[in-house]
Amino acid sequence: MAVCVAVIAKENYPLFIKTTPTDNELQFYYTVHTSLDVVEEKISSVGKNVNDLRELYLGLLYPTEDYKVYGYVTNTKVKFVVVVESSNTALRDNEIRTMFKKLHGAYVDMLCNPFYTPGDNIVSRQFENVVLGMMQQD
Amino acid sequence: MEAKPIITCHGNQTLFSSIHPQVVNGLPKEVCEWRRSYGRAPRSVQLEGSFVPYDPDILPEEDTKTLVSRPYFHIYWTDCDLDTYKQSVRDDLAEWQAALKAKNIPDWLIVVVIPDESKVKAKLLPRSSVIDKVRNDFCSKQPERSIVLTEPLKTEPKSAESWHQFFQKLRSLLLQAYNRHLNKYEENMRGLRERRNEPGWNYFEYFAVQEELGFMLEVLGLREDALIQYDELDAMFDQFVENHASGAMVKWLSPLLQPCHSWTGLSLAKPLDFDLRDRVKRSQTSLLEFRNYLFCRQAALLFAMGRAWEVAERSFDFLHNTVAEMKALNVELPEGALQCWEVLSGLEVLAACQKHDTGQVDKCAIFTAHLWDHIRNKLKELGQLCSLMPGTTPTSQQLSQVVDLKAGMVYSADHVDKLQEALSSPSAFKKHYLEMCELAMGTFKHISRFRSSRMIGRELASFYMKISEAQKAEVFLLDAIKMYRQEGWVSLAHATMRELATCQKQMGNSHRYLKTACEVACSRYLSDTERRLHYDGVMSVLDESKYFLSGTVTVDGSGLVEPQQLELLRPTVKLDEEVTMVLQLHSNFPQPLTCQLLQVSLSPCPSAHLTQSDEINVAMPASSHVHSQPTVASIHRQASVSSLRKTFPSKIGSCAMYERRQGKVIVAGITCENSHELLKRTDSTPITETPATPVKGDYSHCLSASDVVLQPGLNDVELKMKTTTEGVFVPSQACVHMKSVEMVIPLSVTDLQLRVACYRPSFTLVPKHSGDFVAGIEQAATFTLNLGSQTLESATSARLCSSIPVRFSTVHGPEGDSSFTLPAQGPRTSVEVEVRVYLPLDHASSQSSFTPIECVVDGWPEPVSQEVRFLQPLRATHRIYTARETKYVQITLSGDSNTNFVITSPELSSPVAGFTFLNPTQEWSVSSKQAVSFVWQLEDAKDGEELDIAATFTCQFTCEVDLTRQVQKFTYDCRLSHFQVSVSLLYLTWYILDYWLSGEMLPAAADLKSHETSSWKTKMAGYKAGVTYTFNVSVTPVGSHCSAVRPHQLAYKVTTDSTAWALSGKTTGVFSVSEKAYHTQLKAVPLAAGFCHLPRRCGSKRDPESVDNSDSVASSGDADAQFGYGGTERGRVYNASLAKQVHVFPTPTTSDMEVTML
Repeated sequence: MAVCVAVIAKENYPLFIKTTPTDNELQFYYTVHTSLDVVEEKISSVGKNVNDLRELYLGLLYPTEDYKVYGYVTNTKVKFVVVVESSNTALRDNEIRTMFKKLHGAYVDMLCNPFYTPGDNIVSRQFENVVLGMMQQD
Repeated sequence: MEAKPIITCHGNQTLFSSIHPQVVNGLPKEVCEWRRSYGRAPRSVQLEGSFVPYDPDILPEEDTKTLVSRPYFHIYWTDCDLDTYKQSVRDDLAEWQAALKAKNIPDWLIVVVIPDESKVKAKLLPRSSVIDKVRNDFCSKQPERSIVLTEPLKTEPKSAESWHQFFQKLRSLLLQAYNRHLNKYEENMRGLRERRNEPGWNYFEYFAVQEELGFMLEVLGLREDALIQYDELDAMFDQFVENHASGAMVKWLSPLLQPCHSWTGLSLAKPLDFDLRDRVKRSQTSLLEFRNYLFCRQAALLFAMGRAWEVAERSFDFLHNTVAEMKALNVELPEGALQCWEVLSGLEVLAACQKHDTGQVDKCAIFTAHLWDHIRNKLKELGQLCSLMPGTTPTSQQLSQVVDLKAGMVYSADHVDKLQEALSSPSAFKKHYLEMCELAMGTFKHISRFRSSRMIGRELASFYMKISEAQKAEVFLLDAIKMYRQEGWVSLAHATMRELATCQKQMGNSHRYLKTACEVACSRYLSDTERRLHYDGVMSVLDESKYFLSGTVTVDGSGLVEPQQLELLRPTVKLDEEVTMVLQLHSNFPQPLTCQLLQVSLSPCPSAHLTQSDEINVAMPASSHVHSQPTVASIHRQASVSSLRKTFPSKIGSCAMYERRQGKVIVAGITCENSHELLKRTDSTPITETPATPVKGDYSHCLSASDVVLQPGLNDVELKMKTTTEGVFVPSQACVHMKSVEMVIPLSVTDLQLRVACYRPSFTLVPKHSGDFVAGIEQAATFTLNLGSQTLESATSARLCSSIPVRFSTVHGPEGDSSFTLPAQGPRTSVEVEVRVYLPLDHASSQSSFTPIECVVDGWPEPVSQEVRFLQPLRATHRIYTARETKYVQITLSGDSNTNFVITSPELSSPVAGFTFLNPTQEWSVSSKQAVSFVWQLEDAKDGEELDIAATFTCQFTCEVDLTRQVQKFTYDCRLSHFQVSVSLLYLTWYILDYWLSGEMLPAAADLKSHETSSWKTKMAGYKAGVTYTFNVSVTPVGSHCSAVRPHQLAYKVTTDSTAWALSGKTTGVFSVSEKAYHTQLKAVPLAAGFCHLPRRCGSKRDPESVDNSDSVASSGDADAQFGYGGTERGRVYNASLAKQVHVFPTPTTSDMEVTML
């Protein structure tokens, strides 16, 4: 179960952040923001060769005592960050990958909306429902 | 683990000791490929061995489950000759073989060392050497288990080859032995593992077994594989703990669940802690100790492989996992103990990484940075727990807690001292904490993870604030805010700003506090209570600030009060008029904001943005100033991401586009000139927006509203100003003054323009009673001076003047005084003065033209000029008419203006001729709508030879709009040319031209019997179309006295419409007329029926110069001009038959018609 799902634009500003309701939601924001350090590092470490089929899933970005932060970056450099609780051992790499794939699909669906301008904050109800589903599933 | 596989040596010990070094060194020189079972990847192994003397007692039992300490291989060395062999060695060998066989050990080798064979005499008997005997006796089934080593102590090629063969054999046999043992061992181990869920199974027993395998693999140099053993053990343990936590209790875990009394950190000083290992084997360790041991082993292997960075990487899992396990298993230990353990372990890892650093600092730093951060966090937790953080005092309970925690740490390295010291006093804690922060930040910065570094910066800031070093804190916070802003994380920026506000308040820097607190109060991302708190803070600071705040604080108001809409009620105003602008503001403050003053500054519009042609300087009539449609410009809300979007300009340049093919337009359209720029992708451009420090603009020219209360949300504020400068302006900035805070809001609207127009003074001079000014009469006029933007002082003198002598005078003033006095007036008013205007007739130009008139006003920089049109009162033309010999002169009078003139006593006089006035005497009225004509008959003339008569027409006129009411005289001179004047007779006509048609006349009555009613037709003679008639022409000279002057050679030409007449005969000719009339005839055929004009005959004077081409009639055109019917000489040849018509009847339709086709 994810506790925080974030979509971050190419320019590293947040397009969408959803967290489980806690007293300190902002802490997740800080975590997601900090994780961008690692995301950028991972993106830039990949060779500049355009033909390289880059793995979109970036894996575990960094662990904290309570949470694990996973990253995913689309070909257009839109980043997805998912924070899960460390105690949730049921979530292994494969589950996280599936989660990201689902998120990517939802994002693409949202992007297909002609009324959405790329770069705007995401307000799509459908997208939000997908994210909420990811946060509620166990 | 320095152990090597054990190999026993038997036989000739002295021989072996002599070659021992070579054997030991030679064995690992080459690697050997080890193929393994279960599809595992083959490994290259560098075999080494520890050679010990053989002793039957150390031979292991077959079921011994040790790997490391077991002797794997057994070698028998001998260099005996055949006799000795037979005597003793054979028995010895047999005994050795029997001992090995008894223990079921198949791994042995017999080495026979011999001198160089070439030196031995040729053997007589085959198979008689020692080696042959040995093979025969012991290796009959396994011939590979004996080998010959030739001259091992020499360096000859032969001996080297022999060594090589020896090592090859030894290696392969050794591997064989290892493989056999390991397979057996692994099988055994697997069996043990399979039973892990059976009761009574003990993890630690199994641990010892698999670790043994690990050791063995390490001994063989296969560290990677050794690490795998540990990782498997690690994973297995994880699983057990997890299962245990979820209820699957296992007995062997219970010792780990005992309350923990020692939280000594990990120690990486030794690669293997034997003491700890023994305790692990005996299940006597705590969970922390076991974890320490496991990680220590993993780390040792990794360090050995030169992968220090991986130790750092794994340390997270180690720390996090262990803590999680401790919690999952509910291991009882004092609060803070785990933190201590984590700090110590972390520091140990860091120290070890540094120690084993192999030039992988950067690779390592990625992990060590996080590790530093983690330790810092843990230290902070400890500090909070024990009240060591600044601003708190530890209670006695906390102090005893510290003592407890210290007691649990056994000295193992320097950092234990460090932690103990840090826990001992707040000041020491501060020192260590700050050091750790610096290290973590520094490491993050080193690997350019600035976001993480700023995160620590924020923590550090809050720490600094606690130790009252707000200055230091501010720097960190500002850095963080700047980064969050740049990256568009507004919520984080605002959250940090909240801390900054607190920090700045602590610093007592009211200026900065006000700026920050205002922003916090307006943040959309913070809670209402928080915003209100800061709003109140701002207000209280402002209330106090009267005493210590000097000047005003300028704040960037763009996020506080957002302009939504600007509306100018009238985009164009005159100078000194009041402008009203409605500004819609969205106040983000949580409470109503009382502003003393709200201003919008105006700046001159850059010429590039002017939307209309600049018409300011053109004086416009006052009525056209009001533009009914107010211009509205909206401003995009500055949302967090709106800066990324491109805003389109208010106007897009476009042009017509045609595509032509072969001259034809095939496509027509409108295209945008710079579409590629406007439609350029914008999402790829990085944000370069940096919050500019607000600079208050120039408010010398601004709209303002005072005492405005801005409610939270939308507000409409009406701002006013009086224009003082002309030009086109755009609103550039808004400023909200609230006590001593000025919030500056940039307004970037270019499509809203305020035009302030300045109007030049002008005047009009309009006749009072008629539409136009007329020269020659004095007219009353209204002089209206529009002041425009000028003002008049009281009793300003002004006068009108002109370059031509127009006389102006005031109605009541003395004659000839053109100056008058104007009263005091403000701008945009006008003054009216009654004046009299008179332009003498003789100065008026014949054409009605515009006369420039200037009005000079005292005190004004330049005269006001205007053009006034003066019209001629009357206009005369003359004309001469001829009736045979009689001449008439007609004078026509008309008016230019619609003013009525009353004409009396018209007179035409000439010094040489007399005229008889033919009209009755009366009064005539002339205006532009009514003309009047007078006719005189030329009667007599005085003697003279002139051909021209100069005549003068005079008349008198009065006009009702004339102020003087005097009778004015109008004179018109005309010349009557080409008059022949004689004493006795006056014949102005020289010739009379006559022409007629003769032939068989058609008696109209005969044909038209039925038409008796039309009496006129019966009398009418007619001609028949298609019949040839004679066309007679005669020229009769008149006035014989004129014969001297009139030309005698004349030319004629008959022209006609070719559809009406067909002419034959001489249509042109030259003839001479003296006293007698000239006659000539032509044939003429009328072609069309109806009333037809006769063919036109014109005569002309024969040009004497063109005698040569006398038959030419080309000159007829010229003759017309000289002599014809037009021009001033009209009337010399009187055409008596000019309008004569004949009636032509149609020909009945017969076949004869064809005859007429000429």
